Amino acid sequence: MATKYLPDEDHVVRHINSQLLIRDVADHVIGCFPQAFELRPAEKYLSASWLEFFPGNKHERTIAVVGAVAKARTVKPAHGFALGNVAEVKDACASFGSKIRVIHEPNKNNPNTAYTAIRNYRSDEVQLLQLLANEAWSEVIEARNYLAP
Amino acid sequence: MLLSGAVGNLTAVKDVEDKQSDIRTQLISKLASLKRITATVAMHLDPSWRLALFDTLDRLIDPDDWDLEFKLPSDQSFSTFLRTMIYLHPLRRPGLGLSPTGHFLAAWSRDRDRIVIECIGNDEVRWVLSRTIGGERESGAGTVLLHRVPEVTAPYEPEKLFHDGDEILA
Repeated sequence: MATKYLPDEDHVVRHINSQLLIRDVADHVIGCFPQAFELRPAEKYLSASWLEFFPGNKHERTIAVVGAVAKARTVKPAHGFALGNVAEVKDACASFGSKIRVIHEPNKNNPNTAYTAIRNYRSDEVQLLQLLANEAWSEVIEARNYLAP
Repeated sequence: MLLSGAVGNLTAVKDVEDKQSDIRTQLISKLASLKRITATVAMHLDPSWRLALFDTLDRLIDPDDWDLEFKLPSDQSFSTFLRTMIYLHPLRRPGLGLSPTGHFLAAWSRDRDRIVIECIGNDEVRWVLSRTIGGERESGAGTVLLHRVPEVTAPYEPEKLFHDGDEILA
């Protein structure tokens, strides 16, 4: 399959565990911690999904992408998803010297057909993680509003 | 304050691993352990915040919502978190989280400004802050012992993030 780079105007969506969501005193989700964008020791790239892989308006696409992720891994109502514009994420990483590649990488073993890899990504700079969490990849939604009943 | 009494004793907290039990039992045991640690410095914490902290711990260490790729929460990280709170004496309650490495996280946000403190343990913290000052976006980060946090964050004027809110300390 030919390599499919996501267009700059499209969006990447990352699943965020509830432990990495920032809540205010009223328990509303107001963002996510920078550590949500940190690679685990065995990870070579950052996992995400492609919002515009699915048709429809933003709400319909979000429902579809949450459903696709839920086919591949456990998604609880208290979990979240961070949405970021591809160009803004690339610019943020570039400002820290990381020229990332955002690639649609479906494979037959992964039921998430929108699966996307952020390659050439480095997460050893906490200010980049903060920039992503606080600005470039900072729209955070709660899974409970998008999960199928 | 950091050196004496119950707050000083927090430095003696060690991580305890119980690999004999299943993960659910380990999480329940860890939750109880962290609440016991909190109880040792209860006199320093505002009662309503202490209750809110317990509720947050219940949520963060919920056996029904636990990612097996996460390390168990670290007792040492939690003791550093409590010591940080008592030392910094913030007047706004932070949002709390847990990193995949088992470290406690605290975030103070106001508009687009935010400081996040990751409590590594043994009084070591990793901080990262972003603020808009005079129309310019600035950020800073570092890893220091907790008593150095006020000094190293001072150039970013973090007072608006830490203050003007609910009581945390008694």
